Amino acid sequence: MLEQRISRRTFLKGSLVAGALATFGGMLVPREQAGAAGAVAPETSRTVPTICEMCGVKCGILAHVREDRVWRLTGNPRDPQSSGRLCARGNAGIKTLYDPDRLKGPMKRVGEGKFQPISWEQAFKEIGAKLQELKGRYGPQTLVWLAHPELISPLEKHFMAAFGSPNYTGHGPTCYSSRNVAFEQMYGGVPGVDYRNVRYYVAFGRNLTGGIKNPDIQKIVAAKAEGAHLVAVDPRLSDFAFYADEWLPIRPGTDLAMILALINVIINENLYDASFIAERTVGFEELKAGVAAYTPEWAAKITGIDAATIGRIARELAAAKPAAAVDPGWHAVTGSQYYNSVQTARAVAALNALLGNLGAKGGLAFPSRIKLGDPSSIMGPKPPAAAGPRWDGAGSEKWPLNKAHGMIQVFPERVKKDKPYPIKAVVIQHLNPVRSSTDSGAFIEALKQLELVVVIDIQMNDTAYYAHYVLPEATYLERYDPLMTAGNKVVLRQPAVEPLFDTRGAEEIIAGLAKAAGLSEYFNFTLEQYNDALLAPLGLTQAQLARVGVAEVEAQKPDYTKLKTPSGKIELACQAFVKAGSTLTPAWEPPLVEPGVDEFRFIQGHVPMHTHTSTDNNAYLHAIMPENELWIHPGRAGKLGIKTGDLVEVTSRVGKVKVKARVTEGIHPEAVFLAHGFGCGVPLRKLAYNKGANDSALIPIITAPVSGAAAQCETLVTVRKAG
Amino acid sequence: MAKFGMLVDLTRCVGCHGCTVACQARWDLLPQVQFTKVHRYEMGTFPKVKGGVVTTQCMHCDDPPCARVCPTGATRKRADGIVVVHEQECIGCRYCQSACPYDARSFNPERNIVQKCYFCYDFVENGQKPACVDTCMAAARIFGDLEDKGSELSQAITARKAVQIKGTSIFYVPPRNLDTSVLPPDFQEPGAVRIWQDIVHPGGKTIMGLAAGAVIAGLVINNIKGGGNND
Repeated sequence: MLEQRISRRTFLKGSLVAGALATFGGMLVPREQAGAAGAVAPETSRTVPTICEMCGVKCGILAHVREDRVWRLTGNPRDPQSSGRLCARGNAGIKTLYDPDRLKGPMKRVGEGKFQPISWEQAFKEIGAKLQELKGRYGPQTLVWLAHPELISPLEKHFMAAFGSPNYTGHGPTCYSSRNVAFEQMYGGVPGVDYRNVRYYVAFGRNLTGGIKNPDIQKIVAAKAEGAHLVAVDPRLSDFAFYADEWLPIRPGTDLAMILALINVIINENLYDASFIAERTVGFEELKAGVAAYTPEWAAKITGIDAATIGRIARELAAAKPAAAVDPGWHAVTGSQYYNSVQTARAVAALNALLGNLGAKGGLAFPSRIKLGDPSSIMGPKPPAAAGPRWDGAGSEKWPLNKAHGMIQVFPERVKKDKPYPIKAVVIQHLNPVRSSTDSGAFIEALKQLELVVVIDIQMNDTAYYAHYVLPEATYLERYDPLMTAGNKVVLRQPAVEPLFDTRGAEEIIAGLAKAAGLSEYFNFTLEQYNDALLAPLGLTQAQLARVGVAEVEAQKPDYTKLKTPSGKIELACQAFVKAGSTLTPAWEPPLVEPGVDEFRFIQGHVPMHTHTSTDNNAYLHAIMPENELWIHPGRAGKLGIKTGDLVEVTSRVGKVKVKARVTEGIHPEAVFLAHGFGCGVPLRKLAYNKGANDSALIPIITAPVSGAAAQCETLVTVRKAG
Repeated sequence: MAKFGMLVDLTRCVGCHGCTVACQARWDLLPQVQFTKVHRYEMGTFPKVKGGVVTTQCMHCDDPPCARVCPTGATRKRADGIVVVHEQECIGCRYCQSACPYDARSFNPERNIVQKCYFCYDFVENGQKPACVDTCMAAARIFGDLEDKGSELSQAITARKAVQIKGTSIFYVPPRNLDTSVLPPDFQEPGAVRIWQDIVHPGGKTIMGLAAGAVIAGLVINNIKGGGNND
C-alpha cells in the first residue's frame, strides 16, 4: 500500500531537497569526494587524535572534522584502550557536542528554574567575593568540592589545597569504595582482570557487558571465543548474564555467602595454590579457621544456589587456576550496593589469592606505571595545611580506611548540622549528585540551604538546576586536559574544534575562581606548561604529543613480590579491618534489610548505551533507550495485576516514582530492577526530561560500615499499578 | 566481480549498539532512523532463562523486491551485490518499505526519502570497512567478498559454520543457547509484489513525469494568475 499520498506540496518539498542535495553532495556522493569536487576544500578536512569522555574509561579517539564540524568519531588504532573501536556512547559523542540543550554561557540563578546569562568576569568576581566572605566567616573548610574524578582532578585538588580545605570528595562511595578499601588493604592496590587470557571467569554482580569498558569487552570476547568459561552470578539476567555461559540467579545481597562457601571448598579440598599461599600471602591459617562453617550447604540456604553448583564452581575455578579469576567488580555487590559489600570484596580478594592468580596470565593484574614529571615547581608556593578534619569524617578514627574516597551520601545530613563546623559552600564539577548520590529529595534540600552552590558542567543537569552559578565547561571535543597514561602510552586530549559557545576548559574556570578568591599565586601557569612538566622526563612536550595524540614510552611493570601492604604480601588476615571495627578475615554478615511479603529489594545498575546521568539527553543514545523500565518477575507481577507496559508506582521510605513495568522471567522474584540514569527533572534538557524514573529518588541514605560506601540496594520498595 | 556480504557472529555480539550509532553518525542519520538494529531475546522460565542478541539490517537480497517496486528506479542493486538508494531520485513514496520482507528500510521525514544500509559502499571502494564493522568492539561483524574464497569473510563462513539467510548476502553465526528460529527468515517473496512490479515500475516513471509536469504547469499558471498569493 502507498502509505503516503504524494500531494503537490510533498512532491515539491522532495524536489527541493533533492536539488539542495545535488548542490551540496547528497548522501550518495561520498563526502570526501564531494570535498575534492570543490564543494568543500580538501584542507578543511582533518583528523584530530584526542580522548573520549562519554564515560570514565577515556578511550583514544580520532575526531573527523569537516568544515569545522566534527562529523564522525572513530577509535584511534594507536590507543591501547580503544584499539580503533568504539561503543555506542563513544560513537554518539557528536550528539553531545551538538546537543541543542547544552549550556552556552555562564549563568546566575534568579529563581526556581530561572537563570540569567552573565559574563565570565561577573561570575568569577561574584563567586570569588562570596568564597572570601564565607572563608572569613567560617574558615576555608566550609567549602566542599564534589566531583567525578576526571583528568582535571589534580587541579581541582590543587584549588582546594590552596584554599585550605580538605574537603574534596569523589563519586567513589556511590560506585566502588568497598572494592577499593578491601583490595587496598589486602593487596596494596586495586588489580584488574587479565580478561584477554582468562580461562574461567566468575562475575558477582559485575555486569561486564552492561557497564561497558571498551578494552575489557574486546578482551573478554576474544577469550570467550577461545573457550573461556564465563559465569554470571546476579539476581537478574543482566547484559553479562545474557552473554555468559551460565547464569546463577542468586538471592540479592547474599553473594558474600556463596563466595565464602567457594573459599571453604577450595581450602577443605586442598584445591588452592599452596606455593603461592606460602610465598605470597599471610594469614592463611586464620582464613581457614574463619571460613570453616561456611559450607556449600550453609550457603545454599542463604543464596538459593544449590550446594552442588557451588561445589562445582569452586572445583572448576581451581582446575583452571591460575588463569581463573573472580572479578574484583566495580559498582555492584563489591562496590556500593549492600551493607556487606566490603566483606564481599574482601572475600573476593581472598578467593583470588587461593587461585594464585595475582600477576599470572589470565589472573589479576596491576597496571604498568609511567613515571611522569613533578609539576609542583610551577604551581606556586606550598599550600597551607588543611584547616581541620574532613567534612564527611572519612579518614577519621571511625572511618580510617576510606580517606581517599570520602562519603558523598552524607552531604544532606552534614549540611543540616553545623557540627563540627558549618558547610556553607559547594563546587560541583562533572557530577550530578542529585541523581547519582542517594535520596535526591534530601540532596536538593541541602543544596537549597547553602549560601553558595557553583556547578561546572557541560549541561544543565539536575544538580546545576539548584546552583547559584552555573559555569559551562567546554566539551571534551573543544578543550585540552591534563594528559593521561594507559599502560605504556601517554595520551592527550586536545580540541577538535573551537568551543561552539561561550564555554571554557575546566583549568581556565578553576584558575578564574582561584584568582577571584585571592589565590592568584597558585595558578600562574598554563595547562600546556603543566603538561610539559609532566612529560619532561619522557623527553616529550604537549606540542609534540598533539600531533600524534598517543605516544609509546617506557613503563614500570608492577612488582608482585613486594606489595604495598605492611607485610609486602597479600593479607588474608588483615589487622587494618580489625582496627576499623571489623573481622580479621572475611566473615558472613547478612544484608541490612530483608524484604517482607509485600516488599521487593530494589536493585539498580547500568546499561550499555548510557553513562550515569550524563547521556540521557544525547539524541542517538536517547533514541536507542529513552527510558528505563521496572523489571519485575511474572509471579509477583501477576499477583499485583501488572502487565508489561503498565505504569506502576514504586514507593520506598524516602520517595516514590512512576515508571513503566517490564514483566520478565529474567529477575529474582524478591527483587525489582531499574536501570540508573533516567528520570531527569530538568525541563531544559528536552529529550531526557521526565523520561523513565530516577532510581536515586527511592534510595535512602545508608552508609555501609568500614568502607563508608552508600549501600544503595538496601532499599525496600512496594509496587502497585498506577492509574 | 566481487559480491559483497556480511557475517554477524552472534556468539560474540554483546548487544552494545555500537554498530547502530557508528552507522548513524557516519551517514548523519536522524536519531530515529537506524539502519542496523539490535534485538534482545529471552526464553524459558526463572531460574532457567536464556537470552540472546540478534542484529538486523538491510539483507542486500539477491533479487530485491524494493528495487523492483521502486517507481523511479532510485533503489538499484549494483553489480557488486550492494543494494543502494540513489537518494536524489527517491520521491519518498515508500513502496519499497512495504515491499521489504525484512522491515529494513527507514523513512526520513525531514528529507522525505527512504534510506537503508548501503554497506558503506564508498568506504568499501576506498578499501575501508563499513562503519559498523570498523567500530564493533566484539569484532562480531565481518565484511567482504563472497566470491573470493580466500577472503576473511569466506573463510569465517566456513570455519564458524555460519548460516546464510537464503536469497540474501547476510550470514549469521547463531546465538548460543538459541535455535535459528530467532534469525531473520530465508528470503521469501512478499505477497503481491510480483503483480505490483509489472504494473508499477515501467509505468511509474511515466506517471511521475506526468505528475511533475502537471505540478509545474499548475505553478506557472498560478503565478501568472495571482502572483502565487492565493493560498
